[in-house]
Amino acid sequence: MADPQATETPRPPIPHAGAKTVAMILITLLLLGGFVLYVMFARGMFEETQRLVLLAENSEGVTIGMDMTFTGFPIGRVRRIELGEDGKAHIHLDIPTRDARWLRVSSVFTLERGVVGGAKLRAFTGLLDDPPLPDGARREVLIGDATAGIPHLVSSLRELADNLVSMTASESPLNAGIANVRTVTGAMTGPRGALDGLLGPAGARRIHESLEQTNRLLAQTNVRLYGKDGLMDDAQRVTGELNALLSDVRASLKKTDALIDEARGIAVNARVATEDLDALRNEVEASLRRVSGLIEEVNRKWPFARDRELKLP
Amino acid sequence: MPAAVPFPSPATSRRTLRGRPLARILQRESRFALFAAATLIAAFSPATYTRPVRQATAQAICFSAWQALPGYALLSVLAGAVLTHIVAVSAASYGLSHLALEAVVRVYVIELLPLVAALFVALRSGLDLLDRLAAERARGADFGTPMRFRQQVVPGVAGNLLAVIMLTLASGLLVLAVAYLVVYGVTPWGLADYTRLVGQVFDPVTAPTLLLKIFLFAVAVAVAPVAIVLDTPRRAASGSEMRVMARLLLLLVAIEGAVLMLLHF
Repeated sequence: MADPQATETPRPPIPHAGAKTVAMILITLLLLGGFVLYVMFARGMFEETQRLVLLAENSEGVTIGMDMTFTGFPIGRVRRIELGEDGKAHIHLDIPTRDARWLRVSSVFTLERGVVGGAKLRAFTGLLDDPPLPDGARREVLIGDATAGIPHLVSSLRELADNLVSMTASESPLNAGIANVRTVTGAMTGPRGALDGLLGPAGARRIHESLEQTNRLLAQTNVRLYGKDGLMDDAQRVTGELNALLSDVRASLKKTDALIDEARGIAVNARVATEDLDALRNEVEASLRRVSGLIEEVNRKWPFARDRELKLP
Repeated sequence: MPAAVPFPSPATSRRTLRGRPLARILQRESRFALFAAATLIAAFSPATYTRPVRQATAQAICFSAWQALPGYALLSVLAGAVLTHIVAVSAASYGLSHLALEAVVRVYVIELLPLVAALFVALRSGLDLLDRLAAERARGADFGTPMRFRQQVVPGVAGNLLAVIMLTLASGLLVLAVAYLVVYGVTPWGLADYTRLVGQVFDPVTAPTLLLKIFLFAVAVAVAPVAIVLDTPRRAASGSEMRVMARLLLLLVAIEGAVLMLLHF
């Protein structure tokens, strides 16, 4: 609702309104001019540039004004994109002269498209000693497209899905295998447990009977081995007798040892006696030699029939 | 004042177009369009600005732009800093920090700030002008006379026009600077990258379109409130603020939509 009293209480006049207005208009013009100049500068209007034309099979993702980077630094800007007479996309770039030194005749240019974000134009220069790229040069651009693999991925996924469908169909081998497993596991829950599942009822029955026979045999063996008058008792008794026998043998051996010691003493005595006999014999031989000498001397001296034989006692 | 300003003969109009609402609306809007064109011509004509008109215009500009500028610039800078920080942190958490500044410039500086500045001026000095003119009109003042039109309508139009342009440009440039400081900090080493980004955002289509949008917003905010002088005194006395502001909002939305179509289609 309009207030009829509004004009009766006019605003107090603002001092220096004229000067402020002039300042305001000047500031506005200054801001407007500054903004326009800044945008022109930002778009490289005041830079000396050289041109480069990149030929691409596909310029999708390339936009006017986008940067071309070299080692991550923007060194050029797309000025125009056109479809050339050769059916290729011609990407016209402005390269500031001060940045053109990074581009050589051997430089390689790539256009990369990621899954997220826009396309990226990149320049790679391996040999900075090569001659500089001339103004207006035309170069092929290599395209690396992260989304190019998506159709292949989709077809692979489709094959995978088809395989999964065939695997999970009601007549599929996997389902038959799972049914068999279910049968086996069902049999395992029976009275004979896993044996029924593994060997079938007949086999399991035979194994069961064999186990029962084995158990019976073990029981009989137990009785025969460890029972009263079993093999173990006999073995224990025989072992006792063997111990006694061995004790007797040990005593006999001790006696034999004593006999051997005595025999050894006798042998020593005999050796001593033998040594005495040798001395005696030597003495006898010496006496005989003396007697023999004496007889020979008697014979020489005695001129009768001679009987030189000497009878030893 | 141009002789062709289509001041109404409301009684006749209502009588001849009774029962045809669409025709009435069209006639009213065409009258408004003619009035807006005549007002703009008068506002941009140097001959309009006689000494008393110049003084009144200076007062209007000071009230609309000079007094509003500090507070609005401060609010814009604060909001810009907060928004930039939020966008930068959010983008960094998704590994998209290189897109944060571009998003801030595109959304805040190009889309939001001009609209907010236009609404701010419309609700502050636009409503004030509307109230004063409606009161005059309710008392039966005839704005069809050149003297009254020049002294009471044109200064308000010029003030609001300049205020919208001034506030939008100042706050936009301040927010550009603040966004740089928030993202890069107080260092000159990000200036080259930032300048290149600004150059990419304000391409040869976007920059003129933004300036055109600011100008159209300014025209809408300047002209819409003064259209109250087209109403009859009885209608002006019965409260036309809501209708005038709704028309202004509709105009702003139409301009925004047209600019978006121009930019993106």
